[in-house]
Amino acid sequence: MKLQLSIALAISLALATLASFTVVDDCDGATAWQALSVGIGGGGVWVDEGTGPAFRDVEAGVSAAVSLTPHVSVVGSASYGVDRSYVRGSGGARITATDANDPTFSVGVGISRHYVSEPGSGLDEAAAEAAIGWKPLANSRILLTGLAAIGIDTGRRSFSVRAVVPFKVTGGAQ
Amino acid sequence: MNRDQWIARFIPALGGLADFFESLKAQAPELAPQLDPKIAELRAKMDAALLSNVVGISLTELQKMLETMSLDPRAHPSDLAG
Repeated sequence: MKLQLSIALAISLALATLASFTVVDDCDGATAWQALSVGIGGGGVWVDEGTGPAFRDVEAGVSAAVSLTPHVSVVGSASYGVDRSYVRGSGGARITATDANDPTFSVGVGISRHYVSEPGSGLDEAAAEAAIGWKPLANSRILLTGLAAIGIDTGRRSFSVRAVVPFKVTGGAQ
Repeated sequence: MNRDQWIARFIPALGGLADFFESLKAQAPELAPQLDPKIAELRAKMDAALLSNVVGISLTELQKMLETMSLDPRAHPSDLAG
């Protein structure tokens, strides 16, 4: 089951990468620096504790992404548990779909390698992910994001909800 | 049938030929300098043809896509979820 999920995700990612090249795109090609976006925010994380996901901690974190194509991004994040003083991070790739009529809303699925300094405070394995992001207010930069991850080896689940302020890196994406 | 279709149709043959060269190399190591480039070329063609078969596009189109690949400067809100 885990191998099949890994293979399915890998093939999906490869197909989306190739399919995205066929999209008519009016954006000019950009450098990696211009395609980089960075955000800082905070929120909560819930982690499986045997009987189901339970609230773990309030976190402060930073996340970054480089959009390779209109639908494939390399993503990463690092978070600090405010109460339990742990560090949690992840890095991987995500297939993204944005509402053509509303670019303030997007969803993504992908796979990332998760790390955590304190066992039980997060996942410490490769995980399949589903993400959602929404900019609810037109006159505010704040994004609301959600991430659900399931460990490929252990099947443990992790959920996080965060408010993120995206920063424009010099020359970076809006 | 064009070149891409020929290559895609004979993927198993490409793999078999590469395996044959590998076994030949095992029996006659002195032929390695001549066989290694051929084996590498066959495996590369097989990998490319396999990908072409899976995604349903020709090798020529795949090559054009890779040549015109460029990064996308648009930011997606869900990319910053973590």
